[in-house]
Amino acid sequence: MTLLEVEDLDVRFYTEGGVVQAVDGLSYTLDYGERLGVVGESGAGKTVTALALLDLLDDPGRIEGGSIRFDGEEVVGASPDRLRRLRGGRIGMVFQDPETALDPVYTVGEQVAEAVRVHTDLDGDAPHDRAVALLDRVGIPDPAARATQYPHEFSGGMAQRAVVATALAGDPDLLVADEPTSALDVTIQAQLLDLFDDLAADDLAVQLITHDLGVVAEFCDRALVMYAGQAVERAPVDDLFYDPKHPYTAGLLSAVPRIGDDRDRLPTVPGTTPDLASPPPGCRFHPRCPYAEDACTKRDPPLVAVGGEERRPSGSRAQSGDNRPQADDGDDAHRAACLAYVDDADFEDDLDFYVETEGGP
Amino acid sequence: MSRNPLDGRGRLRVRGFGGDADSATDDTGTTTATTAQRARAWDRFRRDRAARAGLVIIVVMALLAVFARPVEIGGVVVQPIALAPYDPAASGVAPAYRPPSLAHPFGTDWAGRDVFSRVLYGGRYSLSIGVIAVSLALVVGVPLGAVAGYVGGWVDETIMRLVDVLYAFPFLVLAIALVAVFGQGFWKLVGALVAVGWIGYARLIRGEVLSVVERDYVLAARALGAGDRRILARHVVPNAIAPVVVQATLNVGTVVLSAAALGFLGLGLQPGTAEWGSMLSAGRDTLVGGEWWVTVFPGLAIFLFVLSINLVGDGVRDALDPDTDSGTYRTREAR
Amino acid sequence: MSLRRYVLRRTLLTLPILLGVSALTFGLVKLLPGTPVDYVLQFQEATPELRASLRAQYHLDEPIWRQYLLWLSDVLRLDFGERVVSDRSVSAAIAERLPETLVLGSISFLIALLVGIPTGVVAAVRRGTLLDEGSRVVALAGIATPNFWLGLLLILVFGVHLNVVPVIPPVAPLLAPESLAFLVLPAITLGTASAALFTRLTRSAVTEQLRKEYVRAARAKGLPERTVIVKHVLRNSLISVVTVAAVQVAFLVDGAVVVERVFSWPGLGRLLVRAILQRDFPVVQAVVLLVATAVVVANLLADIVYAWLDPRITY
Repeated sequence: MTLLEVEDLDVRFYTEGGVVQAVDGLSYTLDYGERLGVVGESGAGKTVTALALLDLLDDPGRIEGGSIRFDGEEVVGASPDRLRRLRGGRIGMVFQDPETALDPVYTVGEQVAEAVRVHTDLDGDAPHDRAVALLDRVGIPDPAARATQYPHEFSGGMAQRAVVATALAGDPDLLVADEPTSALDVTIQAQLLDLFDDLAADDLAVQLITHDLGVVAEFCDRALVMYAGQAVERAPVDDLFYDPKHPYTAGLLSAVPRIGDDRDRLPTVPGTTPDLASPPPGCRFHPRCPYAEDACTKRDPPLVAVGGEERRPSGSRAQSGDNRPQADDGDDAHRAACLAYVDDADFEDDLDFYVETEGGP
Repeated sequence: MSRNPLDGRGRLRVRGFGGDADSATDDTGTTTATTAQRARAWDRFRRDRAARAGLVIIVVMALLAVFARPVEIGGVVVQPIALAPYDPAASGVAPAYRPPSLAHPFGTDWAGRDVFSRVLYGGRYSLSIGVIAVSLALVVGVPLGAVAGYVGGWVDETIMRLVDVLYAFPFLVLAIALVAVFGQGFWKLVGALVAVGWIGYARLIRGEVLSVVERDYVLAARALGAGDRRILARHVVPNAIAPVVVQATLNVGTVVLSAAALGFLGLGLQPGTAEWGSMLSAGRDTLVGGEWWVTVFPGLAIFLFVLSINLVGDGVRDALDPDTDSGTYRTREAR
Repeated sequence: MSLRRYVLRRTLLTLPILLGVSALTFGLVKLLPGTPVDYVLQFQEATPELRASLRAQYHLDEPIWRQYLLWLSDVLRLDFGERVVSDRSVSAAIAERLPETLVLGSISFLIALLVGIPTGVVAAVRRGTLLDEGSRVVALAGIATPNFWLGLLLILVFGVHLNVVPVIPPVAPLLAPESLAFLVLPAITLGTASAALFTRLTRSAVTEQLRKEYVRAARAKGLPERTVIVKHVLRNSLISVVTVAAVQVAFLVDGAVVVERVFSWPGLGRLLVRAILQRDFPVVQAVVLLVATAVVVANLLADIVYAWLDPRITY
């Protein structure tokens, strides 16, 4: 069942340097209990999208178009009351740097408890007790004692768990995590992902924003690849890794170093992210794309379905053996925004990258 | 149970994507960081309308002060223009306490002197005291503070204890005490203001130096064998100086106010000098008598000057460290 | 370390400063041309016996460090000696004027806080609006206005032209309604610059906090905006405001010296200026010492409050 539907989202920032098109025509959906990974370089628009979900964009950013429907109701332009019920209530958010996401002058327990107070009817000692219970749920040892401590007394990993606890206070249906592991050590990162795994098993939908493909592979059912504010590929994780359709995705995958790699140089996607105040004409990726053709400078490719392997039910549904026909087939489809897949485009050559596996069974 | 689709299926390798060729080197044009920074800072300052207005006013007032009466150096008339119609010190040029008129735009005071001429000429005192006192205070305070911060140890302790003790005395109170001890007069006034004013800069630059010294480029310079003095002069001070520059600019206004206050109390320059503050010292009596012009115009001059300095100082601060406060952003309240 | 031990430690650390302050005050007077004896003898007949007894009284034949210690021991017993211009004790003169200045100063400080801080908060929250820009202009004007000029103007407008307040201090007890009514103008005059400063400071502190991630996180939790501002932002902002509030004490003393002169308010400031003009040095010494001590104590209090407010400060 669809929990979140983003359609044609358009976010702009009005800055001294011009109007920056941070997110352009983005569409995706998320079902209950599903895990979506949003991948891309810095500046691709991943964080902006997440903030837009809860209308947390500060000046000078605004949502200029599109719609965001959560559980059927429109979020863009919703009343402050409704937004407050969504924020921390049905949608919980986890930020990148836990040390700065917590107010340094209040105890951690209090910061979880105030979220509990906003979203439940509890009062008196009850919110605090529930806060301690939440801290326990996220795996913080000795939660009662920890609740009386201040954020600066927590290590990075612990602090991030505490932030997750505040996000869970309202018993949300969706957890949006913006690079939750980027500020942490790799070992802590693994532990945190285990926690997410644990939480997601309770039918909590997760939108995980990251630049780390390994995390996506580890944790997500589907993935959305963003570039320069647009979606360039959207697919179940399996398909994305073994059958990438967009040149950018292929570039990202080939740039990941692996143990035992016998290459001399790590191939990188040449160039840098475009200036979003004046993006390249046509396809935004064309200046960096090895396959770019003339047509690519003229036409901005839409996100279209690509023919290919039979779709198989992915993620949690696969594990529970659920083979019911999906109501929203469309979104499990593998889509890419490249003229190579657009029928009436003037695209001559073929995209000749592919994935092969080595070793293994 | 791992859900990772990559597990157990062997390693992934992408082929065919321009990956085996040498990737083009990523070059972003490098400009010297400092020159670009300075250009941006100047640009920001120029765009700040309030700061520009302040600068214009200050320049105008300075010009008025310079050209108020002829300037003679060593018998040579360097500046012959006299914008002020009367000699500021000449008493009895008109009946006392005349209200503003065409002949005397600001009226006359209790000694029959032309207030307009006095206000124009008085700018010399305020401007010179302000600039000189702040400059000298910088000359004393910055080296002391920088050395204290850089060298540390007992040098730092001593200087900072002295600063702490001096800091306990309110600015004006201490200046008054110094004037009481050493007497009145232009240079004694400046001396008192310097003795009180250097403290702020010393503390400020010491704090900045302490933070800059931790930074990598200083460690790098040391590792390369640069001597202490060179490091201080070329790396530490230039990076630490920005807040001091802002503070100094703003302090010109503070100093002018303090000098005027001392003049008002009768502790400034010689009585009867056409200094703005001194001109206000008989204010109370004249007000009750109804001669408002003697009070309003000199005070207005002080106000305008200090306001302009503050606008410029704010502009300098915003230019050197933009905090996106005065932005051209379209704002909207975050809900 | 607990808060109590921190307080103790900080208090002990101020003692050397107070010692330095006293030494400087003592030394300052020693720098004066002539001796107190000369000044006293301006008002009296100069006989050799009188001169000798006065020299003994002022310990002028002792080595300087002994003079200092003797003076210090007197001071600690609140004995500041006698005025030069009369026989009255300095302590009595000070005790008479101190409450006047304290009342004026307190009211001004309160005005500054109650006007400045809320204005700064509102200006920061409503950044970019007319309210914000307007308050910035007013604050800048407030800082640039010489307080003596402002006082004179207020007297001109409200005292002379509109005649709503008296222009001379009433002969009534300090806390009587007439006195307090009179204090309105001086308090406004004295408090304006501080209020302007608090406005700017609070505005910049709040603006800085609003940019921090925890504010966005708090909103993301669903907290109402008012809670975000009052509970979270304000508490963090006030931390930096507290230290400046302490510095304002010194600033207010400076202002009081001038404002008391403008309004002929019989406080310590006026006493100080008169004493300087009359060369009444025991008074000058005592008042300066008193004022400096007050400033040191105010800073100490600010440090303690700061430590109490910010849990990150390790003690």
